[in-house]
Amino acid sequence: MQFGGPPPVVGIVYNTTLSRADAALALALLYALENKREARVASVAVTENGLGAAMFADAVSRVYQLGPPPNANRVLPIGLAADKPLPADGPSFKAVLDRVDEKGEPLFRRQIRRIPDTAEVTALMRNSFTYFPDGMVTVLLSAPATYLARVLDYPGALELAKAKVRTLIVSECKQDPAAMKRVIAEWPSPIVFCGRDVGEAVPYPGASIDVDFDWAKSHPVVDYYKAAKSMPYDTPSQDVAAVLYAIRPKSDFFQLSEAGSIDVQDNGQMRFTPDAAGKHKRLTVDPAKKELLLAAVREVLHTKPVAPPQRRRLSPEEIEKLRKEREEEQLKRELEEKKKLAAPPPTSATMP
Amino acid sequence: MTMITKKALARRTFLRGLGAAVALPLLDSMSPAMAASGPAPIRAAWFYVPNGIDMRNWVIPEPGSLAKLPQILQPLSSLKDEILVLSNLTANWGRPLLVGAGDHGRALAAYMTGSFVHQSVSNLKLGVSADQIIANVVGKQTMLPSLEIGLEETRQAGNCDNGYSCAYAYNIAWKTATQPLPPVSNPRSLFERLFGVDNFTSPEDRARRLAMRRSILDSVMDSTKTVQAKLGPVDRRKLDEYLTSVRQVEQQVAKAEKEGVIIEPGMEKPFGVPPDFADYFKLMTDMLFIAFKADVTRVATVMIGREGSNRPYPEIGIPDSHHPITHHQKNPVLLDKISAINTYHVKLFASFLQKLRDTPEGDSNMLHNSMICYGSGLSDGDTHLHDELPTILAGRGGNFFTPGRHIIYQRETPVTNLFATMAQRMGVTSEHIGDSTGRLVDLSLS
Repeated sequence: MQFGGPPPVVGIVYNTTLSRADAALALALLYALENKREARVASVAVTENGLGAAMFADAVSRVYQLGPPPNANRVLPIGLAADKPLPADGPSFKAVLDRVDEKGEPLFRRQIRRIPDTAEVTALMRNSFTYFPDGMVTVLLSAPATYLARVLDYPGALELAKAKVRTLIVSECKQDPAAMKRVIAEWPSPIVFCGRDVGEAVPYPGASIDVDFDWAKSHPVVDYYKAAKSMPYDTPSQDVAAVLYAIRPKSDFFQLSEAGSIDVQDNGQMRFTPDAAGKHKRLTVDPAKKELLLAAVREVLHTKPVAPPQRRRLSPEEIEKLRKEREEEQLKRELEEKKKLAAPPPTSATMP
Repeated sequence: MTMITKKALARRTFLRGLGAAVALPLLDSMSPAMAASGPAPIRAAWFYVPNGIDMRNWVIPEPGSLAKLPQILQPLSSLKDEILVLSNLTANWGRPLLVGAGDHGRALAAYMTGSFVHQSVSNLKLGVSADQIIANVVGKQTMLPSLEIGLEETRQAGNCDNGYSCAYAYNIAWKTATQPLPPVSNPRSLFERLFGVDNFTSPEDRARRLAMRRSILDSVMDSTKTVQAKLGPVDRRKLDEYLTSVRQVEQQVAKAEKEGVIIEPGMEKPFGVPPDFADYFKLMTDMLFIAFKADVTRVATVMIGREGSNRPYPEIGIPDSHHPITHHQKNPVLLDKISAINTYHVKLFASFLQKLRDTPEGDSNMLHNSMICYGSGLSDGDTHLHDELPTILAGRGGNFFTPGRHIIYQRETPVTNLFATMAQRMGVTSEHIGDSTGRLVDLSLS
């Protein structure tokens, strides 16, 4: 990573349809954990949904991003699959996007207002791998695998994913069978299956929605949630659990099954079958920890985001010192490279 | 290549003489040969501008037909029906990613290769640039597979930007992942490269001709007479005009050699370069024009400056070095200077396009049959942004594109998708160029 500073955190690539309430909650959890410096949102790739879904994701991100972009890469992390006609925006998005303040301006600030303001999803997902050190990306697929499979077509993308991605978490949903089969067959990292049972084990209590976000006068996820169904209702929180596992994989709320295999049927239904020779694992929630898991999620959601500390401008002396350090590092690297190049190739026989 | 033996001239006819080989432009007498070999050739060229752009005066807010152009693009107003302005393209590998500083070295290196730039001073590792991918396929049909032109003296060794070799900041064309093709910045060298002197004559003949101050056209006089005898009046006039333009370029080269010895402090200018940048630009692009017209090559790159260029522009009232002022920190005075430099470059570029458009070719003109890309690997030079790249595509590639419009793509769309589309037009079907993810849509309305 860059010079000095805290150790790098995991980058999350979230490919979502944003068509379920738990996806909206998961998005809030993701950005809230980014605000707590536990993760970085590498990209949010919205697929199988309309422009309103991308605008909603943008609005949620801006509730939590209170400082400047995290680095000079100027990551533009919200993508929208727009290669086919987009569906009309559902009532949950409209409930968020139609709200205005007393001046008639959108209540939830956002920059996405048309398709070119979003990123092309396949390039976005591929590019977002490049921002992170090796083994520091987790991909959460909660959408048909159509676009993730397409990433595999790009030269070097498989090697990039192999180097960068530590885990692919597949959150169960109706799949694009051909694309999912390809991802299952070719994806280079370990794959963890997060079935519907995980979400059903920890339903998010609808009655909590006003409490958990009471630090904000208004919050897009609250409006989304309330417009999605008649209140009050509890929602299975499959993507919420998947996000928490992606960022806190060592937390003892979760258990991983023995080896098995994910497969997808022609109707798009997914299945996990235990299989000693299988390469995948299934995520489950420890039944004794369900309440604790939910409490942990609610604690994060209930935390008001804070602005990051302002970076201090370096003095000319400090800049000079850093420059010298860099040059020394560079020189060292060059010498090592030269040594490597100069080293004779290994031979089986010893020359006399 | 064919010598003059047939009644209908072959497209690849040369006037040959002592130490010279001058390719001919497209003539009516070549029509039977052209009919057999198909329509006029399609050319591709890239003009690269360094240090980014003042995007305040470049960006067009809405997509659609081009109307009033922003300040920097104003010089293209009379040509707006011939250009596409393309927004939101990205060069991801130019970004700091995990490395940090070194944006100028990466910006140029990643621009046409779409490849990771290995940070090293001695161990170069990049990718093949788009022009060379195309030249590898179409270059066999022309005397020169490609032409690399630069308007600043080149450096190939040393540390130019935070541990990145100078080779990255000075070369836009890469033949292989480890072999850059340095641009020719000396007018005489370019002239001799175009007219085959290096290829067709011995050093002794060349030296003799230069010592006698003879024109290259004197050397090919006999051959010229033979050709002229076979031509009708229209073709004779065309040939005269063409040879006059070659002669004028040759005279400008000689003039520059006389005058160009004064090197201003801080300017990296090789011997024989016109003191005025506009004259230099014109001379070098006049030679590119001739190269295209005579089908000496169909693929070219022109580096208006190397990345991180410190060239001052006193001729337009800006004696400051270019690169430092691009770190403007939103200072309006500096931003205005950057805009002025950007506008100046576009003005020079527009004059080249105008020349192509004013030159009839077949049923249309040279610009119609060309694809000329103008752009940079940086948008804002202050913060070193590698997205929202300023990009223009001029020409129709022979009815392939529908210009006169502004298209805004989705963010993160690789700029190499544009180059892959240009390559496709040149008949290069390779699936990807660097990090391209496909081809750009909407460039044509037909």
